[in-house]
Amino acid sequence: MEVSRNWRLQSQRYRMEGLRCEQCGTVVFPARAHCPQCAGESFAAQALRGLGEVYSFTHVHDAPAGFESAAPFFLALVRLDEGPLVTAQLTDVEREAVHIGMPVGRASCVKTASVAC
Amino acid sequence: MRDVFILGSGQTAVGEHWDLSLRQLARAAVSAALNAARPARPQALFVGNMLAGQLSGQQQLGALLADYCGLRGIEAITVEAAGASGGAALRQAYLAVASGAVDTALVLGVEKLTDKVGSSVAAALGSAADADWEAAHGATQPALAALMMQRYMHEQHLSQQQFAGFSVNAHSNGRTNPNAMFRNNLKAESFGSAPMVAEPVNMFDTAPEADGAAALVLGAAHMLAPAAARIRVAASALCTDAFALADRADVLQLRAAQQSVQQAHAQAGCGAADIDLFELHDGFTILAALALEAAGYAQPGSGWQLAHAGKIGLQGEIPISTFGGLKARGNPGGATGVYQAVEVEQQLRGTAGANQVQRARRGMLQGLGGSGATAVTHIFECLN
Ligand SMILES: [Zn+2]
Repeated sequence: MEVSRNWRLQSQRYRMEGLRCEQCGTVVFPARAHCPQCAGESFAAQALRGLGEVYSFTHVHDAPAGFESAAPFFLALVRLDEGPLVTAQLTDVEREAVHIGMPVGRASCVKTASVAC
Repeated sequence: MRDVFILGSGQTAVGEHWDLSLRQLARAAVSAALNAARPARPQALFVGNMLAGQLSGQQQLGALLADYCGLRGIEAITVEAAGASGGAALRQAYLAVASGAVDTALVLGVEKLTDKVGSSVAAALGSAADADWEAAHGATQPALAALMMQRYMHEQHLSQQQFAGFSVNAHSNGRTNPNAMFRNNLKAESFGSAPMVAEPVNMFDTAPEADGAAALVLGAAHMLAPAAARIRVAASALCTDAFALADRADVLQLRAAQQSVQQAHAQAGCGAADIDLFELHDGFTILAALALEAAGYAQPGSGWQLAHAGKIGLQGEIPISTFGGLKARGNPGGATGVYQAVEVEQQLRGTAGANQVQRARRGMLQGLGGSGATAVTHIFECLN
């Protein structure tokens, strides 16, 4: 990933700063301009703890360019405790332990960042 | 809006064409289509392509291919919507003729994927996903399909093996398609033993990426030769959904596909039961199941139950992938939607040979961009 792009996304990629819709309360991550529930455009900052559970997962064998050295790796949809579903790599997990419903800690991907940036 | 008819079509075989460039592939399909449509000449060209910029270092395909195909001077542009590019280009050609802006339009789908190694192609195809929030984490198209399939299997208590019927059917139909990349039967028993791509998606769940070009000439009613079969574009609809898979209201619902089918049914004045065959986007077996659900052939969560010849075979209730689909005919990226269009046209003309669906009068085709953020659905109808 380009340095400037990573810099633009750092508060979300590394600190998981989300948004809360001031109109309907929906928590949004990553940041967007319009609330997906009510189309509202005003948001307040919402810190996310990075805790949640695996909603779905895959073990990626055929890695795309830039991720070859990481393969095979776990990619998951994680349902955060605050509501949003996020796409993330799962790192430091046992191969056989990964399952739908598995609790996860901070679901940002430090490993992805260091591999791909 | 006035009626739009298909005047002629052409295609190259789908495969690894080491000896042919992007423009040579394009010209082969265009020449065949123009021959079939004679004496009509296209007044505009709409190119469906996804990756020429990334994989061939070539943009501005409209002008390039108009020039190379002997059509220098006409209006020509590229339409891009990832895997839905071909269907999206078809829709632009349809609108151009339907609006009265032109009397004839050429739609060309062309893709050259085999000049680069697998990981580069996987990354390029992955650009259909959200670059900041999906591809940045290593998400590929197979990985996103795997996230859908894993969840589907979990909710419906299924194994990967229960999707075998989709690929078995595709291979069975590809066997007799001279333009198909894979012309071998696939045994259900060997389905589960293929190498993993992104668990639970294995190689037999996925479609092979390949080169290919297909072309279709559309025209207004007065451009039809008097004795020609009257194949009408009865519906054309394109819808979008939340872009990233994680942002969908339900990751197992292809909402754009569902909405585009509903619009297409309304335009054509028909329902799901009136469609005689359905060329769907079976880039992954899970997408075949979800597309059948979105089109109204199965309830949510039960599309996998249609994965048997009696349901989806050439003589089944709703034949799909009648020339092999993406799985066996091959997946030439942005060209795929135009292949689907040519195949439906052949079914309605009754020239599908061993792949013929009997008494085919209405055929539907659908392209998906990425994991379903774009869906474009067309219905063709034979008026003879
Ligand atoms: Zn809101």
